[in-house]
Amino acid sequence: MTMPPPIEPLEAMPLPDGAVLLSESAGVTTTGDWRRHWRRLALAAMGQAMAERQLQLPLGPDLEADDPKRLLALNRFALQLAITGISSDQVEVDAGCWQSAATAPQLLIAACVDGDNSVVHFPGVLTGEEFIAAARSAPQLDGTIPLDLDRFRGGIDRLFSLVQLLDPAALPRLALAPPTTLLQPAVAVIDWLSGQLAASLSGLGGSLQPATALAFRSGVTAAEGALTVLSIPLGLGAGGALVYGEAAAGCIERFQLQIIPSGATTPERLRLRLIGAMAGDLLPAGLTLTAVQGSHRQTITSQLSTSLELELQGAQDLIEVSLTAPGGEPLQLPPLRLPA
Amino acid sequence: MADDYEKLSSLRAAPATERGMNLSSTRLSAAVAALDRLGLAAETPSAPVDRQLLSSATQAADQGALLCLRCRVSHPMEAKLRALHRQFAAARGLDLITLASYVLDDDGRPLPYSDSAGSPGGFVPFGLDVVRSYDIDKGCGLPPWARQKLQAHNGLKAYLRENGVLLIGDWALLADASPTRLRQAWEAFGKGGLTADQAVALHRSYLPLYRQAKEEHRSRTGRQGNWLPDGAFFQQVAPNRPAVDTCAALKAMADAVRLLKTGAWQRQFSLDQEDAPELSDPRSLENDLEEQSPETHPAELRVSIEAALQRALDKQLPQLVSPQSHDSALLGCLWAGYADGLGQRPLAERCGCSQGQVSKKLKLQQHATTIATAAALDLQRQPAFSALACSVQAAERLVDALRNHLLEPEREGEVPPLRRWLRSQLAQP
Repeated sequence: MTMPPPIEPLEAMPLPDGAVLLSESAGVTTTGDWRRHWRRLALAAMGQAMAERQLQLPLGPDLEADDPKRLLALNRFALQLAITGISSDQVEVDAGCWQSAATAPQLLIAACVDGDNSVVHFPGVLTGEEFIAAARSAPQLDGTIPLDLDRFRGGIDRLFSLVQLLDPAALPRLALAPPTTLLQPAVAVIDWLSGQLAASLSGLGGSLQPATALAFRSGVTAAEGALTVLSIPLGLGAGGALVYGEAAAGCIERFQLQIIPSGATTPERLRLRLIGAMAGDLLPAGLTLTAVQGSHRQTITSQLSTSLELELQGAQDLIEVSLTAPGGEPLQLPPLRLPA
Repeated sequence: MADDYEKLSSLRAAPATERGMNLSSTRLSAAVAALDRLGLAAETPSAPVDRQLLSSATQAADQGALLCLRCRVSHPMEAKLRALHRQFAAARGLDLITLASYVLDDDGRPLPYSDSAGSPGGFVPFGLDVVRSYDIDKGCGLPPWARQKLQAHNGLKAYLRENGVLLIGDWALLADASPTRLRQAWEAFGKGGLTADQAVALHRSYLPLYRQAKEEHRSRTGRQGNWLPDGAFFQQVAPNRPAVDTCAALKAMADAVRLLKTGAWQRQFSLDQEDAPELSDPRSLENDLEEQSPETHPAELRVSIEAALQRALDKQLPQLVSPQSHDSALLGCLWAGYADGLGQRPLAERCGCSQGQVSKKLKLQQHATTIATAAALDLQRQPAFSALACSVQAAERLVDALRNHLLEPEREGEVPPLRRWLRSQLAQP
């Protein structure tokens, strides 16, 4: 039996397709740490790539763009730049900005930098939704998420196509993990009567309205004895994922979750109502609204429905509310407390 | 065998050859005499012999001993250049004489060790620079040092970069490897006494120190490249091991990573050498249009699309075919050949470049994507395409379809629009 010939290691690597060759002077700098230096090279490469394509897209920020923690703004899109070495197979993505929808980017681009040769390669781009899906199967280490570079696709041309063709609202800002009941304190519903809304609910885009005003504006009666109405704007993103807050405004399928406490003077009952963004709109099929209060669990799923409703009574137990779209992760509200 | 110390590998004048030069090995009488004088003629090449020669060259100003060392470093450099040439000549058109001109430029004349003493005509062959910069305390032997210095040669790196090849040194390669890939590489190809866990631990210790050392080097020199580790660096990486052992272990880890990456790199070279200029998705524009706008008549859509593409082509292509760059003659030849319908191999032959350079210079997919995106942006103003702004999938599907339409004929025998337009553009006086 003959042995296969030993592999001869390659002395060098092929320049990746689409790699940007910067001028030799681009690598000459003495200030800043290596992350800033590499980021400056990546930004220079992005500028050169735009010039080669005769594109004049606004790219910011003007100040401190080389700060690795800062998001970039490219043609009105929030963009995260994640950098690694030219021969790497992974990139570590800073997870900090993905903790909240308010700070999450809409797009993530990977850049592979060779500072010695002044070469930058952009393997591709992930939308927020694609990043969230990829991050779920990746470990989180010291505030970073290592992602294999083969998850990124399309090179820098995908970035330029998306930021030119899409409306910014079409790419929602998505948090890595929606607020969970385990991490958040319970919300006292009675506080809503004095206009106090917990950050965990306002972070979802929730707002309080007097019940009468809601009936006047939408033509939908809140509930008998309604004291106030909390409305959370929701929508289905491009891949069918639930999005909330401002991002929902960009969705084609939009709806809202209303949480309506009612009673004589204090909240005695809680009505959960899911309705279309416009009165009478059909809800997307397969939305499941669930409420758990102690051992009592209620659930309802949309099917040619214009609204879904659940009602809960005041009790010692906290109320846990979640909404799920088909095949997606549930949106979990912070636990709610009604006076017993 | 003293050949290593007596024979110098370098570029030599060879009038009978096509280039007037060749890469050859010449025995130097001054080196032979120095070995005899020092009683080293019968010694095999080794680190102790290197040390003795270095000591004579530095302390006794023995130019013959220095010549022996210049011979010694020329062989590993020649071997590395020949390997580069063997591996990349076909795919990237590398030329051995050009490669050698950067580092094997030593003509064998006696020169002093001290650079303050000056060299006749100010000429310092690269091999002499290698010996002068060698520090025994760096923890690596002289031949590996010569390979590292070659790896960091700016002129050589620039030549390779221009030809689509990146010299990645062991230290950068190691720094770029993720812990997962390093473990995988060590388990498959690791040579040495370390377990995979120990290799990963050593790598973890190496990374921050490498970054820090590179930053210090950059702030000192203003350059990112040309950094090489010394004994103190290896001591920091593993304080409880001899620096030489740490250096060898890290080199072995880099070798394992290089072997692991070699398969992927070779696949990329194979793709570069395929005869078709670029591969496109075979989906036709007709099918995509039906999916995109089922309400509008396909003939109307077709007219709108052709008009939008024409406007985008009018805007983008003139600059492509008349570029203001140092390689505009090559680009002009490539575009003309592409317009004539030539494939990658005949294009390379006609324009005198490698097949790898054809796709790297033409960038067909990139240009077609830019034109397709500009056309999609134009179409978006029409009601039939207004939904593009709301959907990633719809936007990408249209750009893909338009790009494929530009590069691929819809029906057999037809000329793709990009090629057709180029023909008419190039035919203009």
